[in-house]
Amino acid sequence: MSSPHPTAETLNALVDGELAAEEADREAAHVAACADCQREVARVSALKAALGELTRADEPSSAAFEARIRAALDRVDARRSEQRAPARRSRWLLAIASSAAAAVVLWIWASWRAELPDAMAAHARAASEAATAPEAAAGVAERLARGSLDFTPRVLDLRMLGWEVAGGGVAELAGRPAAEVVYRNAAGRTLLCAMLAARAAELPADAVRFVESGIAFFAFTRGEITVVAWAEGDVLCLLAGALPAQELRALAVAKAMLPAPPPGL
Amino acid sequence: MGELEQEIQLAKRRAAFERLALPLAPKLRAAARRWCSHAAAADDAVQETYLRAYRTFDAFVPGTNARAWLFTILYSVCANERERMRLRDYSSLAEAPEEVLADPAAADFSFAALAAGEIHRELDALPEPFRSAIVLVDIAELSYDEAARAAGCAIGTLRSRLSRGRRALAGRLAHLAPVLRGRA
Repeated sequence: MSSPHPTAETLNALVDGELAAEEADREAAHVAACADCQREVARVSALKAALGELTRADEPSSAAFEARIRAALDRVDARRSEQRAPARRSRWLLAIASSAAAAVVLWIWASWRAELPDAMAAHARAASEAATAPEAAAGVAERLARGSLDFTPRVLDLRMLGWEVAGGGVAELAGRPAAEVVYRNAAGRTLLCAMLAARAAELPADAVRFVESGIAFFAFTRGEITVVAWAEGDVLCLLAGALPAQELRALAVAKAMLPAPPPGL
Repeated sequence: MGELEQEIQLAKRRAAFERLALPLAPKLRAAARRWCSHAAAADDAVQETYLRAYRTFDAFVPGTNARAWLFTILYSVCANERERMRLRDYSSLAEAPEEVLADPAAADFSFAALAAGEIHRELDALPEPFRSAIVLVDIAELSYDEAARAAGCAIGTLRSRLSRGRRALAGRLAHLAPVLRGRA
């Protein structure tokens, strides 16, 4: 043997790629000619490979856990927002604004005086792009009640139409406080429902007007988003989503016809 | 700064944090399971790690190693659990075998997959500084320098712990595979 055996630490460092190039070359040359050191290198390598393999096999599926982490981060963000501003700002939208697109959406949202269908379409896009934590669906009614709106918002039960509540809260829509509820269906589609104190006469002129069961509906197309609006007394209701216009209009009609929900929903 | 700008900044910060930190969740959980007495405690530790990291995210220097940063926090969060594991009675472990992860009939099974439960148990049973050295390097995949910083020790100490820990672990598992029997 021309050179002394490397220490166990050195052989470990060789396997881990932690030796400087010159030292690694020198030790590798020794190992190539030394059966004992080859066995030690093989042992360390096998153990390292086994631990790496086990870690990959052991890594738990992460979707549910990531949702849990996001919910915990939401709580941190919510506390920050509360400390700073008790305003009726769309905290829930901010809290789920985790995608890169969220910042862009927030800029869109910043155009306070944008016309209502545009703002509604922007919110619908934000809702469909945001990953909603399961926890976001709970407490929507409470968040709406805390939002000190000038009207009593309703959270409609659309489950019989295949839509589950996925989140919601009070948001600023084209400069006015609005109750927003996000629904999801089994196909992962998103539907945004908003209610705010406004009149149909304030809607822009490019509406397609249609009448069903005596109720006038106003449909708008904004990119891939269809927005349908109708008035319920002093409250303007809007429904928006990236659905075929006919489907969304049918949903709006169904929604407009739904009876008021039982208390507590 | 106006309120809206502040909220935009907050949303951007949150998005940046998630992009950087969330992909590491599986590795953090795998490491935490070797540092905690049960899986629920491990997940709690990982959540606490994320919250601490998020609170101090402004201090994180972009472009530096997020993996080392998060594992350093996790190592610190798990300190109490490691102490609890150190004190526990390992004789009870034999009664709770972990599931075998691979089908031995499969063509490409390895001794690691076949004996996952045993490897985890033996790793968990290693004395603490040696176990953590292996977790930081082989599970967290940190460099020696990063692992030493996370464990708060000198790099030479880390090298020694890692080498001795691996040798002890290989010795405990030598019956699983001939390759684990090293030089005398």
